[in-house]
Amino acid sequence: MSVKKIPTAMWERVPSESMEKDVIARPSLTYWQDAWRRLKQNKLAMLGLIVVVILIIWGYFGTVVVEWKNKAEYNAEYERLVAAGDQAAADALYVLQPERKVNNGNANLPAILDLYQINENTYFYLIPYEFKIILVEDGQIADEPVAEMDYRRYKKEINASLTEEEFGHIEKYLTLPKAMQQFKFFQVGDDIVYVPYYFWKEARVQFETDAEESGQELTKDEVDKKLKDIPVYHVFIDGEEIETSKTMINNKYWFGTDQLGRDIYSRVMYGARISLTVAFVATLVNFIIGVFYGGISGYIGGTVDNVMMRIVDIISTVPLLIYVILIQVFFDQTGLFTICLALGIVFWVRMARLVRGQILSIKEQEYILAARTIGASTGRILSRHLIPNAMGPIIVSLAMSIPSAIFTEAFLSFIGIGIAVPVASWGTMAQEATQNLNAYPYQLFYPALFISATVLAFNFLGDGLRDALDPRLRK
Amino acid sequence: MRALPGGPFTREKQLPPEIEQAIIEKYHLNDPLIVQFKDYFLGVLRLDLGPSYTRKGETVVGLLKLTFPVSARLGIVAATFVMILGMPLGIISALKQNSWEDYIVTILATVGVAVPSFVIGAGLRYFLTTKLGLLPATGLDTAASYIMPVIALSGFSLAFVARLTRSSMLEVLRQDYIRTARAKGLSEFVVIGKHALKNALLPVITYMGPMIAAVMTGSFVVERLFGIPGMGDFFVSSVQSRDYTMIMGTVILYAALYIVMIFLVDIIYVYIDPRIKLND
Repeated sequence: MSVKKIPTAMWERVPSESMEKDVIARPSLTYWQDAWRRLKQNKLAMLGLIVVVILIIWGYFGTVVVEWKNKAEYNAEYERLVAAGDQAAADALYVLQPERKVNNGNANLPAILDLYQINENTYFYLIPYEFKIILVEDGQIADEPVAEMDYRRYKKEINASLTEEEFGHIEKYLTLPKAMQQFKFFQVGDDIVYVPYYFWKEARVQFETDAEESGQELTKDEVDKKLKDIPVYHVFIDGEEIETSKTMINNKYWFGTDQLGRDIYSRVMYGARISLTVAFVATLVNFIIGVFYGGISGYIGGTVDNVMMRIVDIISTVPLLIYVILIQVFFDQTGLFTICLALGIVFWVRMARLVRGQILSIKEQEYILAARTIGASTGRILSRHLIPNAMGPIIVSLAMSIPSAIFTEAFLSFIGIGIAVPVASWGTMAQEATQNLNAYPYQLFYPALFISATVLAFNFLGDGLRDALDPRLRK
Repeated sequence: MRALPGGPFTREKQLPPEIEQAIIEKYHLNDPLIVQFKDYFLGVLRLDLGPSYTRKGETVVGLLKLTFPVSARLGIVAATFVMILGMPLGIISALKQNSWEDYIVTILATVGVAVPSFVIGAGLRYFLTTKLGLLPATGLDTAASYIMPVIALSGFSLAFVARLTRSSMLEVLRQDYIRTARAKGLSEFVVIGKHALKNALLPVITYMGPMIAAVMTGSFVVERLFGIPGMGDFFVSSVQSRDYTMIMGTVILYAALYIVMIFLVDIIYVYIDPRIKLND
């Protein structure tokens, strides 16, 4: 059969437009570039990322800057103490970080102060439940509360400063049982400020015994109501009752102070450093052990897989609390290191299972067979072929384990077996704040806000990463 | 657990050696570990978990009988709360995707997962008891006193279940058989209730099983905050005082409950999805 020759006239040139159709118009994207592009489109995930970056900068660099700024002051103080011969106090100074600086005089100051006015530029703040007053002059909060004047000692001065009519005001309150009702007197400038305050416990007992003597029964609620009716936080200046007249933002302690007068803002900042460190270290341990353990178990398979997975099962059945205490006692210390180690031990188990599952499905793919045929070693196949291809789910799982690490650290510190107390962590702060929650609720607010916001940010980021990295979930 | 340094009889004051010896004799602590294990194992089979090491005159079973019902009652109420509120919320938000109802549920669920239970508990206690005086602060005496512990205990699971139900419902609603069911002219109620819900609930039930076991054995934080004499508080204190038998007892109870719940979940699977066979 002869080949029929096509005459040249029948050939036609392809128009150049149709050639252009085959040119790839957009640059080809790698898996990671594509994931990053998707992540950027997800607004919540970007918000989470921004919050996380700000927290990292604030927590790590903020604390360093603060310590650097205070260094000169500490050095001067150190030299002064050494010169005075008090070496012990000088050595203790290294803990004089702002978050540990105790200032009992300014304890329990909230972030927003309701002030009483004395004269044009002088105001004061009354600390609830403590009945101490702190002067605020020209917007400057005093370091120490105003010294109290004992009535018995300064009777003459106090009585002299009050007119008979003014004294009548006090008498009105003196009709209450004596043991539970007292006044605190303070001299502020030329004025005498006085505040009635109460021994609540004594008052309760008094009400109950009064009721018993008169034969009537008082329920617990009725006693509570009676206690509430006693006037407190009534402030008198020279016999005149005054009300709060100005609200000021606390310019000395932005978030207020805790029950020892430590600055909550600094403590939250140091707490951020601790929480983030725990989160990142636990995640790193999780990543390294989990990926290699799961990878080896999944790739080799057979008996090795069985034994390795049973070990994982055993590790995962022991409660976290026991690990934490075991490690603490073994290393004879409580704190950051033990928490990180305990979380690492518990968390890698989940990661190992996930990686094993991924590897089991990937290792059946043809390119693994090809690599094996060429003669690649097990280590090379694992590190160059299997793990990089399982990276998407691994990163998603890592991002999801960060909030749970932060949660667990806060929980452990909250129940008192995590970060030891003088160190500021969000969990210890929350724990200390719940003890006097009724009196000073703002002390719980800030650590709670930061825990929640951080976990939320990491959750958003994790969700975004999952959408971006997990191809099965792509729309 | 024996690897934990210190022991239940380690006190601040050193005991005289004879007394220590007598105590060790009494609890058979000087037997070889394997013999101790055999004794303990046989004891467990007879439901005898041994004496508590740190609480004199109490047995572990006796203590568990005292504390477990308290935690279990609270836990069951919390689990029911999650079920009757979490699932419907998830379903509603999936059915009305991108409506305001959906946004509210999503926001609540996202925030609920991020706020720790001690913050929820402490916040509730401050606002409802201290500020408004509506609810009793501690104990479980009245129905009203259940409200705050239940919310604090179930907050995370509630949010999680709502989220899980929503996402699995959304996925099921995109399936072809739902379109088929609608095309057949079935009412929306039947489509959702009979065709969609059954398949959408599978992952939720998987989560609910272990969750119920965890919630029933008590939460340290919630029990501490609201003064409830339950198991969670007990477990932490026995870990701290190295009360071996007590720790073992609580862990065994939890493990038993966990296995029962997983078993129940497996049985429910078969009812919901006939494709799943138990003997495969």
